Amino acid sequence: MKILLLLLIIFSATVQPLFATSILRIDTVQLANDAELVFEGEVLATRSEQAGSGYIYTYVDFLVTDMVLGDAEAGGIITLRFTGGVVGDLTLDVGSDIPSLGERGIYFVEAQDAGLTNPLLGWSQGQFEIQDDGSLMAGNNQRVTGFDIVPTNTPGLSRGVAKGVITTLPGHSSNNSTANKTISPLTVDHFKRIIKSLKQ
Amino acid sequence: MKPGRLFRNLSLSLGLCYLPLGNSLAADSGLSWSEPSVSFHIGNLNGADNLWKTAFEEAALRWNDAATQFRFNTTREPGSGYCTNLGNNNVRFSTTNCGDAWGSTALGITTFWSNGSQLTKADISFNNSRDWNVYDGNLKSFAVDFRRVAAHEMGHAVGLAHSVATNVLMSTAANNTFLPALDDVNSLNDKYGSKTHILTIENFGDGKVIFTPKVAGTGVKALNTFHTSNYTSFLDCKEATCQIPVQDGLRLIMTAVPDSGAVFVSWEGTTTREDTVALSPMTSDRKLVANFTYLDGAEDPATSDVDPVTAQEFSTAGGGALQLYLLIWLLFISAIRGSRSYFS
Repeated sequence: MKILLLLLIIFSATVQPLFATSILRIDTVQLANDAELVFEGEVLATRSEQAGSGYIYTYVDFLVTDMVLGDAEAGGIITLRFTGGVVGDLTLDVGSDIPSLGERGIYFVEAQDAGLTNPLLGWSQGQFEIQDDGSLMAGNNQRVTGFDIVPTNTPGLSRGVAKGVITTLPGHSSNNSTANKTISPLTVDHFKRIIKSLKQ
Repeated sequence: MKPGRLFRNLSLSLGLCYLPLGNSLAADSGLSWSEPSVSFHIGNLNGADNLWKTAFEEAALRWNDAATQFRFNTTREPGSGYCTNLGNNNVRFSTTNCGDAWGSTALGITTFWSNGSQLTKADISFNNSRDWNVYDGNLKSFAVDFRRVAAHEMGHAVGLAHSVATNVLMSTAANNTFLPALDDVNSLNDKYGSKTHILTIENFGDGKVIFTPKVAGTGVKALNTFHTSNYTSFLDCKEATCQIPVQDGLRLIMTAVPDSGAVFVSWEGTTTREDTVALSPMTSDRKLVANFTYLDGAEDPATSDVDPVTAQEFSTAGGGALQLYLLIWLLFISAIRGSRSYFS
C-alpha cells in the first residue's frame, strides 16, 4: 500500500501544467507599478464555461483579505477570468496556472476587465501562493526568500518569477548570489511591505 | 485539487522542484499526440517575402534535424478551425489571442485542446503588436527572434513542458539557445519514444572513418556539440568493423582518413567518390565500407604474415629489407661474373 501511495505521489508529481506561452520577463519594480490591483485573497469559487465561440473560460472568485495596492475593499469579492479550463471531456489550456478552490495568495492584476488571456501581470510572475506555514510560493515553484530591486527593461522571457524576486528550494541557499541575504522564507507581511515600498 | 496544485504541494513536501522525466530535466505535461508527428498550417502567417513562413519552417526543420523520430510538418495552406477545438493546427499573427487581449507581456501563446491525456488540437498565435525579427545568436532586447520563439512554442505544441535545464530551447526563459539541445531531444524521446538504427562501418585496408552529425542550416555547430558529446565513444571507427547505434533521423558526415602511407580509394554503400560524405537521415540500418590502399605498391602489413607494425615502422622496415635484397643481388651478380671469368 505504501509503495502504491509512493508511486501515486511520484506519478502525480510528474504532472505539471504546461507553460505554453512566451511571456516577457518583468522585474520587481514593474510588478509593483504596472499592476492595476495587488491584493491578498482566497479563492472562494471557480467555474469553467464554454463561450459561444467554443472557447473555454474559467472564472475565479476571490475573497479579498487585504488590499496591497489599488482601489478595492478588503472583504469584497473580485472575479477574474482566465482563458482555459475543463468542460466535459474537453480541456483548453493556454499555459495559465489558474488559481484553484481554496488557494490563498497575493495576486498582481494587470487589468480586471480588459479581457486578457490571463489577467495576472506577467502571468505566473504575478502570482504568489501562500503556504500553510505562511511562506510564499513563486511561479517557479520555489519559496520567496528575498527581494532585490533591479533596473527595468531587462530583456528576456519569463522564468515564472519576476526578476529580483529571490527564491529558494526549501533547505537550499538562495538562487541569487548577489543578494544572498535571506534564506528563511519571506513572511507575507514583509512581502507586502516591500511591494508597497516599490510603488512609485 | 488540480494536478498542478497537487504537484506544487507535493514538490514542497518532498523538497523537489521538478521530477525530471526520463533523461531530460523537463517535467512531463502528461499530454501527447497519438502519433509522433504534428502538422501546422502556416498559410495565414503573413509577412513580407514569406519571412515568417520560412522562419517557422526552419524552426520545424531544426526540430526534425534533431535525433528524434518525431516529425514537425508544415504546410503553407491556410488551415481551418482557428480558435476552435476542430480543424487544423493553425499558426498566425494576431492582434488578439482568439479574441482575448494579449496584455503587456504575452508574445506568443500555444492553445491546446485535449481529451484526457491526448492532444487533439494546437493553435499557435503570435502577438502582432510586438517587434519581431529572425536571427540566431544572443537574444536582443529590441526585437524578439521569431524563429526561436516558434521553435519553443512548437515544443509546447507537442506536449513538452518547460525544462529546468538552462540554455536549452524549452527552458523556462528564452535565452541565447536557438536550437534544440540534448535536453530538448531527450524530452521528446521520453515522450514519444526513440528509434535507433545500426550503422555498420567497415574499414578495408588501412584507415579509419571519423564521423560527426550534420544538421542543415546555421545551427550545425551547436547541434554537433551535443550530438558528438552523445556519441563520444563512436567518433572514430578504427576497427575493421564498427557497429554504431544511431538515433532515428540523425544525419552524419563521414570522413575516410587513411593511415600514413595509405590513400582512400572508394566507398561502398554510397555513390559519393569524395572522402567526405554527408549521409541522408538515418531511417534504417545501413552499411558503409571505406576502401583504402597503400601507395607505390608498398606491402600492406595487414595482409602480410608478419606482425602488424605502424605505418612509420613499416616504412623503415620495408626500406631496410629492400637495401638487404639489393646487396644480396649485387653480390650474387658479382659472384656469377667472377665465376664466368674463372671458368672461361
